[in-house]
Amino acid sequence: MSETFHFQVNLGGMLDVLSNHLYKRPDVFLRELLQNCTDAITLRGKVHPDWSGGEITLELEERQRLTVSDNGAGLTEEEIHRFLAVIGQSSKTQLVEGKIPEDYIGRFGIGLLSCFMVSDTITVHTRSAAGGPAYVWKGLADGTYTLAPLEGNHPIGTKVTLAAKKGADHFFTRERLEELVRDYGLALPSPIYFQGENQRLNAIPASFTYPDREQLLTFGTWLFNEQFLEAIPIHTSHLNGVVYILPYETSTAVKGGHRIYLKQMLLTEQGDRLLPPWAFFLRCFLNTKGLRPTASREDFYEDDELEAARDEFAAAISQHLEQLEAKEPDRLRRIIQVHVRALKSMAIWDDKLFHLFIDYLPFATSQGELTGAALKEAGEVAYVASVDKFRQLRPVFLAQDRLLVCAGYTSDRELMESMHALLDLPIFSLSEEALETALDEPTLDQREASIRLLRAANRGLREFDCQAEVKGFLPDELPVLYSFNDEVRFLREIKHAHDMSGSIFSEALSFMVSGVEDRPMSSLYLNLNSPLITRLCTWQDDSQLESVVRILYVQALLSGGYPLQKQELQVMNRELLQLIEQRPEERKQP
Amino acid sequence: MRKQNQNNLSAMRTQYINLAYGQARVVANRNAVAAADQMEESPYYRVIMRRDLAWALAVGDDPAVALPVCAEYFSLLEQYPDALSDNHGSDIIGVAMVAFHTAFSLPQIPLAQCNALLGQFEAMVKRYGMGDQIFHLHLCNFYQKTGRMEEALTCYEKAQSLPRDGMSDCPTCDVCNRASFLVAFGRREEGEEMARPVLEGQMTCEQQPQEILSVLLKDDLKRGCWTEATLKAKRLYRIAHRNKNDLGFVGDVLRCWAFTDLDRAVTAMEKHLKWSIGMWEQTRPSSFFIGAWLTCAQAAKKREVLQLNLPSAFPLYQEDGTYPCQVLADWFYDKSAEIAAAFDGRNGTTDYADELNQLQGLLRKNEEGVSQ
Repeated sequence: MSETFHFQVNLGGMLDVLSNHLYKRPDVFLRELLQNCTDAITLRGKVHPDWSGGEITLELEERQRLTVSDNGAGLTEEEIHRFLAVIGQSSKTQLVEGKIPEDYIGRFGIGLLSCFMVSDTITVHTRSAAGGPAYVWKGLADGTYTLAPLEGNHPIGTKVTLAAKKGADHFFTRERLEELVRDYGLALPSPIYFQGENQRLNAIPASFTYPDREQLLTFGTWLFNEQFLEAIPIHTSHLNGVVYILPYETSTAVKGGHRIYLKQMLLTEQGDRLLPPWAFFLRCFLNTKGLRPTASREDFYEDDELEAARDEFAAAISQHLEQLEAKEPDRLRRIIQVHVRALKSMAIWDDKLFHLFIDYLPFATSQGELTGAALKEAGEVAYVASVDKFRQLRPVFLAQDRLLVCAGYTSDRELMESMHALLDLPIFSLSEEALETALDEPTLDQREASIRLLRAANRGLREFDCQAEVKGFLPDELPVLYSFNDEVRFLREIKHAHDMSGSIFSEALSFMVSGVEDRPMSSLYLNLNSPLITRLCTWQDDSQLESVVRILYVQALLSGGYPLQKQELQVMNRELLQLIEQRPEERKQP
Repeated sequence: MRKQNQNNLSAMRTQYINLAYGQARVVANRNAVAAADQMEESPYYRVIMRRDLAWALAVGDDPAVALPVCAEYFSLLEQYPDALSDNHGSDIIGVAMVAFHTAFSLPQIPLAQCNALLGQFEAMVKRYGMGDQIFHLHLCNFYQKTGRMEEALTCYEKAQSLPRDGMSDCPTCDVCNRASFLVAFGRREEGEEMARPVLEGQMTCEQQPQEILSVLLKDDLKRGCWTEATLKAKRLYRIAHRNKNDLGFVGDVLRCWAFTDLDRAVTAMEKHLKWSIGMWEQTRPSSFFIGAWLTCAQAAKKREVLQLNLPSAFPLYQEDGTYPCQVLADWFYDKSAEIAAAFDGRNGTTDYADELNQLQGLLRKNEEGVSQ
């Protein structure tokens, strides 16, 4: 018969793991204490509906000791044993109709442990509103605790005292505590004071109560120390607060700097879970409800409610910007000017936002910068998703008075696709095949005149998996144009890497392309409008023609910014040398 | 001049690092590599930017395209042994890991070459004295996929006993990898229990919970647990349908929605098919093609044709957007079977074929309908 054993827990080690590794930053200890105070005040108010006047007090011995007190429900002896001494047990996890009551912030029963990050002892004085004597509980980081009744008259509520441990004394300064209270407790309903003072530490300016735009902006400056471009109030079933638009461009990587609260307690300054990826140009002051926190209460749990909140957020921003377009178009234009990258990201996120912004968004084109509105009127538009390719083709399109858009920058390719799909505009990606149609076919006479050059070119370029074609295009000064599709580019990369690497990789790379049946070729277009190419059409020396075409090929690669393979690096010197070494009288000129 | 060049390269690097993983980042990173190559006096940037590119391709684009980049990285390191200091050991091991992982995801690369890259990965781990744990997890995966389950289990246990270090996956991925192995070893309950903090949202990272959701979703489907599968599919799609790298997850979701929410499955298939075109990496398209096959096969039971807006590069592309369901289903099945045969042939297993057979069975069984 098998016996049942219990895990042996090293309590000190467990406390260390929970207190020092669960939380990302030690200053959350104050958040956890304020949270307990708030929940205790809420509980007392529920049990005694006539009671009001809950408050939280901080008492500080600079750099040594901090006491955080509340006049909430307090704890009985039995509750002390249950809630302070059992990890994972919270007074707030008693379910009501299967759910944790909405008005409590905490739930995991591990918050108090965060205090061990800044103090080796936690001393709790408490007296329950339910009656009975007061108690003093003292917990140590090694997992032991003591409990004793207190004599004399003690007020109802709880007082938690921490003694600064070495290296954590900077949290025990007035300046730091004021800052932390403002960060974590700004939106808490109960007032927070320093002992013996009247100045409420977590007061939101009175102007925030029924604010207009100017008041919201003033509040934003007070809270974030920024002169924002715009303030967007948000009131949805999950979100309440205000969203600000920054006055300067920000990187897409910026996710922080927000004040996001859960039931009035600061949960996170990072917006990456709640906010959509394009929100990097915003700063949010938001209180959330109905969302679940993670155990460390530093972010939200990913579920349907969070998704709904995210949708509400996007809808609110979109609606506000729509209103701006109708009522304050200049202000919207200014916002777009500053945050074009963010707004492009927004426009590909949501079709509605696409329609809202597209007219204002600028794009680099062969005819300079044009907005979406101008592209709508431009007729046929081609785009390339590479800046280098755009640079290479720009003169061709310019000379032909055709429009080419550079979609090599963030979001531009997706926006071009949407312009085609959602607005049914003749905007298309310039494929290699499409490029051919943009170039003029040679006449029969030109074809005949260029046949020797074409054959020599194809022989000369065979080793580069490239085929030559004669076409006519503008500008005349451009003798050749190199073009390839993504597959050719990747095969070039593999070949380049194969040339460079040792046996381990070169074998793997050979096998990688072994299944490719038809080796895709790149194209070198010889421009029959170019004086250089027409001159070459008259040459009769095949070997010289091959040399010149190879040089033109390398020149086209260099001007397009393509990486050169080993043999291509060698070709320019080799061919130039060969041409130089041939004496002029040996050249067979007509 | 040199200082100026270095400043320019540094600025270019900052610029792409600030972009989210995806095509735009890859393009910016490629441009930066080309610029660094032109300034040959700075091997540091040529090397480090290739590491960034390999990573960007592996995480946000077509991972297979990272292989030539890894090859160039190691070749440059041979050419310029002092380009990186020893502090970059974790970077070097990371690229060796990506190279092996990428090669193994391509069925046309034989096991001998995969083994050689695995050997290089191990050599880097030994040289720089870190990464032993993650190496053993990759080795475990290698054994598992090549049907050497006993060695895989031994390797897993070894990885369990090794300490975490600077090369280890993030704690979240670490938990999920271990949980995935337990599911693969048939210890589903243990695996799910291990992954609970991730599934409950207490631990997350860029790769999780999507990867563990994918593993558990497929296992749910195998066990016929449709209610659980539907919940996971919904959650997985919500998190993972943003870039090309998510193609495999979309395929996993389609496997479920084909039977539980066909309308949504068809829409998702139509929307994400473009990612599969021209993708070299094969595990993701394989998963997508399986999902698309089931979707079209289910659709074929209800209607003759589907009106779809598919990309013109799709081999069956129709100008008028009308596609016979069965023709699509057959095409996706053939592609799935082709990749399955290639993987099974290379790995010496029948895992992929078995999976297709099991799903064939599910389609037949579903003639009478699957209840959610």
